[in-house]
Amino acid sequence: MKSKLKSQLFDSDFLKKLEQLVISTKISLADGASGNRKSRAKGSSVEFSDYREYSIGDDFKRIDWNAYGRFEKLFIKLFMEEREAPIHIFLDNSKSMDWGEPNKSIASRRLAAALSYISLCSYDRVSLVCMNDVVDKFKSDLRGKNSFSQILNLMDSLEYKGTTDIFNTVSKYNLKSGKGISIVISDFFTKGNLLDMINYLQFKKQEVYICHILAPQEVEPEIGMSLRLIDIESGEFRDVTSSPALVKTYKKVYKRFITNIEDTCKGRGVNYMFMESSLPPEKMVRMVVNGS
Amino acid sequence: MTFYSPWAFLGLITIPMIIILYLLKQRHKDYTVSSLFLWEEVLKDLEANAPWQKLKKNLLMLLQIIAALLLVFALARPFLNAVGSDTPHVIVAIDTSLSMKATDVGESRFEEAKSRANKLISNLKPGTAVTLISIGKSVNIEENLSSDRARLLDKLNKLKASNSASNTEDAESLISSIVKQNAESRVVVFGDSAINISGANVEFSKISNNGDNYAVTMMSHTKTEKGITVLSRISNYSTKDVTIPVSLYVDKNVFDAKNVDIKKGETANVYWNEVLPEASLLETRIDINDSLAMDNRAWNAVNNTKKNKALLVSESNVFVEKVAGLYNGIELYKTGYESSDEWKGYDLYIFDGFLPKKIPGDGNIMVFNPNENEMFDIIETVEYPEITEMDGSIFRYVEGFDFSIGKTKTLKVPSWGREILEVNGGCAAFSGIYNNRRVMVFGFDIHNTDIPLTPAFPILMANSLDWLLPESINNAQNVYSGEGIEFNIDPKAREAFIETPSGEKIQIAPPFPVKAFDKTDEPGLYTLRQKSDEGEQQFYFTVNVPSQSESNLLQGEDLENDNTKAPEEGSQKPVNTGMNIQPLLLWLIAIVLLIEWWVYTNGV
Repeated sequence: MKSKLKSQLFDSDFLKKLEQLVISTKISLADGASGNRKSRAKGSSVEFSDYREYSIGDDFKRIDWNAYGRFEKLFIKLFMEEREAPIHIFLDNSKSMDWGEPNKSIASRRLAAALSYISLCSYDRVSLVCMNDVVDKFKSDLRGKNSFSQILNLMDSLEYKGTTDIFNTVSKYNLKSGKGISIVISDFFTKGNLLDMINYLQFKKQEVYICHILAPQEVEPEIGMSLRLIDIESGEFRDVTSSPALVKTYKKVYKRFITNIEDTCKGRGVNYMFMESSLPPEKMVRMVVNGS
Repeated sequence: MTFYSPWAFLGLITIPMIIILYLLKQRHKDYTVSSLFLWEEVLKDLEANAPWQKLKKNLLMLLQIIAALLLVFALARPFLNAVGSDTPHVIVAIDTSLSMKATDVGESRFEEAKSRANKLISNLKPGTAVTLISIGKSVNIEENLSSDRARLLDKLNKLKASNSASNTEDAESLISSIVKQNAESRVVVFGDSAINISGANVEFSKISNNGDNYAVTMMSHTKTEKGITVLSRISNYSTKDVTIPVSLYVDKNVFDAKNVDIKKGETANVYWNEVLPEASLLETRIDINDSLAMDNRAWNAVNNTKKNKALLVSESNVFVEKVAGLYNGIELYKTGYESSDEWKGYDLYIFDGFLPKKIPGDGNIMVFNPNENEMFDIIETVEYPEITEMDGSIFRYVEGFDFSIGKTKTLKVPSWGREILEVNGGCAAFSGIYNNRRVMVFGFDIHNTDIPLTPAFPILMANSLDWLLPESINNAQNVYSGEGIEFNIDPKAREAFIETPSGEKIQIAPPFPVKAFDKTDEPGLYTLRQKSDEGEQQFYFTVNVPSQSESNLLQGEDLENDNTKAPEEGSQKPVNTGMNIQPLLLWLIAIVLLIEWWVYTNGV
């Protein structure tokens, strides 16, 4: 499973796409997220962070001519600015996420990886927290592109287990105080209170992004006969017989479910993004970057 | 209840099959879902919307079992038996007389009768033999002992009401004889007047709604010096006094109109004077809306009778000469035995003691004391024979007549002749139609008998001349719809046609002799046209509806009150009808399937 995931998740195509994303988005999450962090950065000292090759469109002033003299290649000096934003990515790794075609676990990990990479490229401080009913694995305060391999490793080794209780688990996670961005990626099949989680995150001065990932089969279930529906997390089951009425009611309940989350997010000024697992990662990323 | 295909109950095996299929269907296939989170909500919602949701699967099964049961029952062809419905033979008699055209019941009484009969036949037990009889002027068996439902209904639908009176006597005797053959027959009569058949189980479905009707019940004319006087008799067959506008049409043009007050149930005579003597068609109309329109018009034909030319060939026969001269309608000519070649153009030749070698080519012939000839043979002469038999129409009105003959020739009756007077030596007189000409032969000289001295002589002669010179029409110039009419075609006529009121031309001759004409259902003026070398002769006759017997639409009511207890129209329908439940069951199946479909799609 792991090797399969690894190959599916982080093949060269995907990594190439990530590069392109970074170039084409150009702005970091933090840039687009808030203006007040920028103003605070004015006049503050800069700390050298990294080099990267010059690419068309970069500011000439930032070319390191010394490096050019030495290597005969154009490099740009990157600086760790004060405005680096702490970005928390909360990824749901409960059993329910390991379902669907395309599988939600792959889509969600690709999204998390992509967001992490973009943030690292933008010199933001990235924390990745994988959680189900408890915090399962995490990497905190990663800086620079080099740290990306840690994220990939974490994701590769990630196992899907436990039940979804992301609201409670996030609320229990000890966030450092200070402004930042929190991105929650889950299917939200949980009875916990979304509002509590949002309240907690906003209390911790977080700008909250809710990425709601569902498989196409959850949006439009294909019920062709009498079925015993077994919960992948709990093993509980319910018997249903296919009928137009059943499908109709499912659609009604589904719509209510989505509308509830959406309304709660809107009410608290939270960015809510609904994504089907069949969506390409770059589109998912663009949705997050654009905030819709 | 009887089932005609009980084997269909084998189909009940489908019911346990349905249950088994449902039980099999209940086995759910495992299907792993990411979470029951939404599904629990769905099931909760479904149960909240339909408290009997849990029963739904069973409801569908129940509906299917009901549908299967109904189908099995339908295939078993159930039939609900009613009293009398198990008779193997049913005689359905429908009155097709004029009164059935009355519109006081639905579209018409006749349509109502047909629809009731249709219902009866449709609901008969399968295999029941039906004899369908129409009762009009003639009583016809439309379909005999048939159990082919479609054919019966087709015949029934093709029946049409006539303009004639119903011949209930014939109907009664016909039905009686059928009932005698099939003792278990059930008789159902649809009409407005009851039929009584002794010893038969007769059900009468009376179709009448007491309709008001006014009719021209009689029309006649007489010629006077001042022209024609016409009598029209108008009857009020309603329950109230009325003023009826009556018009007389002469040759299709209005001649006069009158308003006639007639009390309920009474009849008024209306006279029209000084109608032009050359008129040929008289028509009386009453302009009033009533239940039966056919009897609001009546026609009467005026024929100007022509004089017949008769030639008496005799040396001296004062008796015959006097009588023939007095006979109304004869223009008598006299001649001796010479110049026999020139005799032609007469309607009647009277040969006395002489018969030419060459019989004249036209006209009818009367012969006294014939000599040898080509038409018939003379056997011998007998004296003082005893009269043994007198037969034929010439002896009408002379009962007890007795006479004696001194001397007569006996005759060999030819194949076309019929003996009218027999003496102990053989035939003394005969009559017959020879080459389309009427011939009457007496073997004796009238002077050798005492006949001329008896008071019966002029009567005998008049009878003989009546037969020899018949009117164009035997019975009357005015007949009722449906009645047959016999014509006496002019011997000279080569062809004859009848022109009906609607303009249709019907050839009645050749062939000769002419058969009775019975296509007289349409009322109005008919013209008989006879074409001969001398030109065309026209004779008018009229056909009227039998209003005296058919126009009183209240008649049925009276009969009904006498015969049966049922007072209301609605209850007159045949009650002893069994019922084929199959169509009902098929409808129920359709309804059950619709309900099932609705339950399934709406998930009630």
